[in-house]
Amino acid sequence: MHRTAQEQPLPADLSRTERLIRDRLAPCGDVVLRPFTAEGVPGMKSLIVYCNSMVDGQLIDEQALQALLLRMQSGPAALSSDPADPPTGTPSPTMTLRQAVTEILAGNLLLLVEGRTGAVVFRLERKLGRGITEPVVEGTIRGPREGFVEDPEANITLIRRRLQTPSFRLEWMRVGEQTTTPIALLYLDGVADPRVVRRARLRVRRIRIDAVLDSGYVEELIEDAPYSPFPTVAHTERPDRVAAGLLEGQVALVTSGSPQVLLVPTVLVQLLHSPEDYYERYMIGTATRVLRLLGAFLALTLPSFYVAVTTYHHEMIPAPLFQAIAAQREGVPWPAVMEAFLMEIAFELLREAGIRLPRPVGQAVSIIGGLVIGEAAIRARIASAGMIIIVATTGIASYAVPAYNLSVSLRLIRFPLMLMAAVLGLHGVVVGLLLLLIHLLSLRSFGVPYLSPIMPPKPQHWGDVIFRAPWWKMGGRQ
Amino acid sequence: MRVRRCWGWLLSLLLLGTGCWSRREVNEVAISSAIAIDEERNQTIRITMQILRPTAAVESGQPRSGTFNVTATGPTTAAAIRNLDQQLSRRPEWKHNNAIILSENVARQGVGEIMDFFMRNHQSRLDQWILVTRGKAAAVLVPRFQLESNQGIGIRRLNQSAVHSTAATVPVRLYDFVTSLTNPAEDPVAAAIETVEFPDPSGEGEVNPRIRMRGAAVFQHDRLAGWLDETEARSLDWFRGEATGAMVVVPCRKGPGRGTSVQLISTRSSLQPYWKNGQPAVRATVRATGQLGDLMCQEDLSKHEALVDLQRRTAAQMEAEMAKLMHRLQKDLGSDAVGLGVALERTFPAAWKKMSPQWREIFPKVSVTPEVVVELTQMGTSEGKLISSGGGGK
Repeated sequence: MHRTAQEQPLPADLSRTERLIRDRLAPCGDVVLRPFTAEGVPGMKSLIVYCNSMVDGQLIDEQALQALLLRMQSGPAALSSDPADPPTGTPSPTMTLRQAVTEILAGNLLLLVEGRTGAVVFRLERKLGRGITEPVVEGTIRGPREGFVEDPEANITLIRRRLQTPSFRLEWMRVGEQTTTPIALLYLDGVADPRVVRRARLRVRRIRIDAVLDSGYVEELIEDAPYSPFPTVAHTERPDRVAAGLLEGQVALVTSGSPQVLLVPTVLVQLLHSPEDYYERYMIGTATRVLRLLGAFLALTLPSFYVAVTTYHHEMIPAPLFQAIAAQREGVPWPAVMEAFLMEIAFELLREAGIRLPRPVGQAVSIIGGLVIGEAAIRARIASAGMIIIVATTGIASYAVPAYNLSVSLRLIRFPLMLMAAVLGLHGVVVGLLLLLIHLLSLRSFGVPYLSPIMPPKPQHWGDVIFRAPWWKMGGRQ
Repeated sequence: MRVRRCWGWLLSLLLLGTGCWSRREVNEVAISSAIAIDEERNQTIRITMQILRPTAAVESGQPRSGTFNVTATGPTTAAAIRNLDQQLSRRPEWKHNNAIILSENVARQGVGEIMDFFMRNHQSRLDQWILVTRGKAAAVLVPRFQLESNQGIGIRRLNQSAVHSTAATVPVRLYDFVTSLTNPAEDPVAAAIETVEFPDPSGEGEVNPRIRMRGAAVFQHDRLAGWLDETEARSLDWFRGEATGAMVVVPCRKGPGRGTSVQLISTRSSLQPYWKNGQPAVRATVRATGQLGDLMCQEDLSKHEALVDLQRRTAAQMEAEMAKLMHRLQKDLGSDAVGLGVALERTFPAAWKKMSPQWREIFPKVSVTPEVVVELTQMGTSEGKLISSGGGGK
């Protein structure tokens, strides 16, 4: 198709417009072009175009056709007002062919009138999809139970209800050559850093990709450090978390078709916080937060510490425990690091399989995995009981991390750390952790240092890093 | 890009090429729990090591001993320990060793050179206990503890109970032992350990050897000077302010009776040197708190005066015991196990410099005055005395 023809407004000549659209969309098979005339109104020649799979048939009838017919048939008085300006449609006299195609495929009905450029748009999209349910991954004991769905409009409603303020800003963009997925960029004017908003907008606009089927595509295309295992873009299925993020100056990206909303910029400590920290009283919030930080640290380092200490630093283990570990390891044919790798991989397999298992089989597999493999591995002297405890603790600890993407990357980094521990002992673990620290210090998310507010230090925010200061102690907006 | 790849290769070479240097799996070592050092004829050193058999803890079925002893000789300590490898299928590891037991023979010959190995070797812990036994050291590793799985833990527990409960010995760790060994201003001391044979309580005539810690071995420089009995050992503890749990039995004030027991809870001591007629002298002050253990006298302690009197009599008894010990150390043994030299050096460094070459001659003449203050803080759950016999004799 010629670029020029696509960018020009739809011509006033109805038969030419029809040909243009027919050329473009008729092969689809589900695009309907129907001439529309009212009896007794001879001068009025028009055409309606819509995509059959996207629009609601009942709505076409109720909202578009009947309104138009009424208008046309009610005689000269009604005709004096513009028939191309019906009450339920939006006229767009400068609409280009490209825009028209987008509108049709988005589930809108276009009314084209002889002698007028552009078209009138009726929003008749067929609403499909599930109702709002509880978030699956980010569950909490206390706090709202609503989770996002695939419909972006519904998701924005969920957010907007929590932020009934005039400073709320919403921008729509479309991404993906084939999918033209709508993406909404949300922020609070006067709260979000304008540079961050600009950066986010620019990065989304720059996306060149055929398809966007989930917000994960967007995340990967706009993140700062694609080679880092750490996520610099947060995603959530909780509207309350998005509202909190917007209030903290983050920018949210709602992707059509994805129940996960992206939040940028994201710093490491935010990924370790749970919304519940703020809903519970501050003492409980602080306690659970400290517990969770401990969990993150254990998930990252526990197996490597165990490997390092049992293969290099026996003197660091209390004597009775050392004797117990020695007794358990008696007869295990491979070094501790092999044992650790085997069991960790077994655990990861079990976890991965658990996601895909049909629900009725799930129980059986967890029994086989947990009891049979664990117990049998010890009896067969393939692994020691101590190692099973370590692997199990690590696995549980990794699920204490509230951000799933961070928990996955921590579990991933644990393997090279185990290797370092096996080769160099605790020195290796320390070197590995230092490398990790250096890497974390070099990361930025949309211009914000990843370890902020710890480094660079911003003491005014320290009340909400490891501790959760009581609300009456936290300053105003910072 | 090529440079980066090059670095990557170098880094992986560094990691993989080192080949897990000195990696040692838990089940590739023989864990030592206690080491005994004897001396054979022609100056050969015999090392006996008690090795844990880890599987004994998890094996079911017939009871098997959790330990066994291996022994080897060599011209030096290090060589003797290396020679253990000839019998052991796994490398011995003494990172978790709890006790080093020296035979009287070794101690008399001088322990300075033997201790060198334990201070130099990176595996040896500085907090393991040093003990001396009359007779062969290896014999101490033979009897089984009834409650503990091995000698090392048993000896450690005995030392701990000595600190908190009996004070019948002077518990000394390797670090403290070597510190006083290398310091010319003090002489080392070590706990004494012995095997005793108790007849079986059932009267079957079977004899069960047991291990007992009682008394202490005091050294002059690095050679054993002599033995202290349990009363002397606890006096030494009071000087050093270390073991806190002695039971002091005070004779009754009047009338018949076995005496009053005062259980010490804590003792703090300090040595204060001063000059007396141009001669160095030391005042040893001990502040002890205690509780009443029992009252087997015709006394009524509900009166404040009676209590104060009991405190004074306890202190007097402790002072007498301490003076007796001092006499023994100064006149018989010539061993500064109390550490008078250290106290003098700290307080009068300039005078000590002149004094130190003749310290061995000066030491027996230093006048030492023990001053004990006892405070009874708890009387137990009974008030006064349980029964008043002898016709209400107040």
